[in-house]
Amino acid sequence: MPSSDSVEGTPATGTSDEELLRRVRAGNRHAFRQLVERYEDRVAATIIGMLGPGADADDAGQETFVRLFERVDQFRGESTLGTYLTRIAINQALQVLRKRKRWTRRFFSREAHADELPHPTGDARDDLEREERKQLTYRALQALSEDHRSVVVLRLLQGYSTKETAEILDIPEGTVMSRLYRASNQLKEQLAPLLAPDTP
Amino acid sequence: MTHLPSDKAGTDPSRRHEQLLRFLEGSLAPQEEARLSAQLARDAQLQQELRTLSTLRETIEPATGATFDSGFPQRVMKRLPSAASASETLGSFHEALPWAFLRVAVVALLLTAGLGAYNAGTHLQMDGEASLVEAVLGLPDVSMETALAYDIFEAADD
Repeated sequence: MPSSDSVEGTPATGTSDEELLRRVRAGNRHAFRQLVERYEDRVAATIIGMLGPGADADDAGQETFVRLFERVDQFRGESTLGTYLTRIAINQALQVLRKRKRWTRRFFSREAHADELPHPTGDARDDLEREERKQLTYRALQALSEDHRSVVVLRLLQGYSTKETAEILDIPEGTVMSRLYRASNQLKEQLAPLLAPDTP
Repeated sequence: MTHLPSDKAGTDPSRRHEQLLRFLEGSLAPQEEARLSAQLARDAQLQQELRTLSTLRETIEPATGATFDSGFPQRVMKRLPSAASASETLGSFHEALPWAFLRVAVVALLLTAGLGAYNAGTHLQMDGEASLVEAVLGLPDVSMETALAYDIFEAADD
């Protein structure tokens, strides 16, 4: 979960993001590898949340860091490096989603995908392993629109605040709230058997 | 920290949803939290909404641990040379340019010298009117007097 800007990018031990970026700009690729290792999990959470696990997600994740490498001179520190990377990751994921939609609309449409979601029966909550629950969550996320999915991934999965989510997606905070509310309602429907039995 | 007026949060479902979420995250201002706690104590439907939201967060929580397959940093670093090799290639080209220019300049000079020698040899054989320098430079074997004698405005015979 992202922390406040004042402590992000400065691990308890090791070199700060600013110092690593300075070294990368000077041509030090080992420093860049340290950045990749530091932010791999955050980028993974964003990309896999948007695309689901698979080769597409891995490719988009790699491309996220390549873009950072190519633009390292342009990053001026207006936001934290983590937020900057998340923004690139979201854009990479959206590009993949649009490409998927153009070429495989029939098989990856939200409506078709939603139909494929299993409907666990009564004892599902006790029976499902954590991994199965994760897979169900991914599939429920895939049933959301790109706009709804991105706010769920950032706000609910990664714990960015509404303000941070709005900055990353470049939309008003009110839009974040309304998209999140609608997305949550849709997720509640998709995951209803996993939620409390007395869910309205 | 953005404050959500309780009246706006009460009428707008998305703002109420945001308020409940921030209550669960512990990020509400103390006054807001106290106000919401009081509301929850008397509103069963609001309590239900809070429970549902809490359960939803717990349900999707496993998806937060997503990771790439092992070896991801290596794959990224391998991909970088395609971004870095362009500048390396450009650097190599700049380094090679002076040497390439030197070779071309030497060949050009040799060719020029060879042509000059050929012109000089031909001039001496033919005993032309032009000077040796003009012959080496490849200038035509015509003197100024000869050139001025040509009537360039002479009409062509039909």
